[in-house]
Amino acid sequence: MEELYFAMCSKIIMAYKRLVGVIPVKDGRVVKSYGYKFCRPAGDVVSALRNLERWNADEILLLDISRQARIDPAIPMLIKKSGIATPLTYGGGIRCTNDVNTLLAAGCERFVLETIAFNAPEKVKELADLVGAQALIASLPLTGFGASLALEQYYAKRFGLAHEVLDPSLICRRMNELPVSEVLVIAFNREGYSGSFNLLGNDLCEKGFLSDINKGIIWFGGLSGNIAGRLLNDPQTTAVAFGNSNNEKELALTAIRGEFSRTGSAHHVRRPLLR
Amino acid sequence: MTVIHLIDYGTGNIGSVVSLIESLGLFASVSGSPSEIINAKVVILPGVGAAGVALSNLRLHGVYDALCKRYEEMRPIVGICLGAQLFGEYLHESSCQGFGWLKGGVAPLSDYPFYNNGWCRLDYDALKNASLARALTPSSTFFFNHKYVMGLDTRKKVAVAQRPEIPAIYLDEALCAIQFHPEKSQHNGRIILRNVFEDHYGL
Repeated sequence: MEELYFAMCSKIIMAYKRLVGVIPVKDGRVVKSYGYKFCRPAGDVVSALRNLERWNADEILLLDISRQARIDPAIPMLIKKSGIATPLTYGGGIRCTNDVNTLLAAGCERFVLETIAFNAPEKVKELADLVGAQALIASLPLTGFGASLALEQYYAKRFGLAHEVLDPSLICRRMNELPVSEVLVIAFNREGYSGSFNLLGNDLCEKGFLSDINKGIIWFGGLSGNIAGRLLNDPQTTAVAFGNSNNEKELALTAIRGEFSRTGSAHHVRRPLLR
Repeated sequence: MTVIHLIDYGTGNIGSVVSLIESLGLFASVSGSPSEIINAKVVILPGVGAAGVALSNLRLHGVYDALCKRYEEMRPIVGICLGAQLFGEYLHESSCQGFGWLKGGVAPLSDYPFYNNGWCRLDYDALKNASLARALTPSSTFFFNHKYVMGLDTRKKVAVAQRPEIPAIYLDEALCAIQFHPEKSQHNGRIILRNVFEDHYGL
């Protein structure tokens, strides 16, 4: 029996890959964001959370793009009010263990770290000691820059956008050193423009640049069902994320799930029944 | 109304578990008081986090001894994710002893490339054997988020997850150790916790 158990555990078979619904939030309201430069109001947080749960999102990512370098105190209350039972990840302004404790108590399961992931890795370690690395995701907002990649970061509103060209191998090394479970790769300029996902010119060649990352990758920024389907076929992909499209039509995620069959990737994701 | 007691020991997404319990028409009380833990009808030990911090918090608040007393009296204790892993003998993550109620150590998933973050099915026959399958189907999925996995305890009823194949639920007269997050598993999470309360504990 024991041999059988260890034989079972040694099989490298993964859980279903996830279809993540992203809710961009600015100043406490849901927005449709375009490359993080332009925003249009798109409703309230509680309704957006409940909609994505109703559409069977595998996970919801609440992404505060206000760049306030702190957690909006209204957000934890809105999360509690929604009462959702879908895995909820939060990103934006997380700096310390207090932030994480507040969000955890409100019902968040996982946390996206960006600024501190690059500028204060010791704080990431502190957070991992508190909630475990399985609860942490590093954000990697990238644009293509010639034949290389550039990291695009807003440290806070007052500092503006920092653009740093980095060798892809350095990016991979930095990610591998962090005690996080996954990396959220964002095609920064393409965010909000459905079907435009691309970091380096054409095809999905950017994936080769990041193949040395030894963690699962969540892709986000301008994905279409077709592109996401192709990305799902890659073993390194653990999830694909969609933002604005959730606000453009009813049951958006259900429609995207349907598109995966065209790329032969439907078996990677679960097919829950609508209720 | 039946009261389910949630242990607040500074680690865990209490808010989501409270919502789940209330959605089942039960009342949830939350505290870290040892006397309440000893006297409650059912207690839930939730958990998101690192094992070492969780255990030291339990000891700090006197919860550890209260739980041991409950277990000696064979009264219902439900562990969720990290809470369930603490029932093991040895926790490799923090190199420390757990409660020792489940045989074997809690070790990282061997040869598994990433963390197990995602939705998995459970072996339906095992669920039926454990009397937890009511209103579930073979395609029902549940949300897992972990790197460490409970050891094999053949003395207990076990429901195994598929993709990867790991023990997902251990059951005995008092203990229910759930590796996944029912509070984050949407409709199926509600159903399985209801089955644990009604079909296993007879509430």
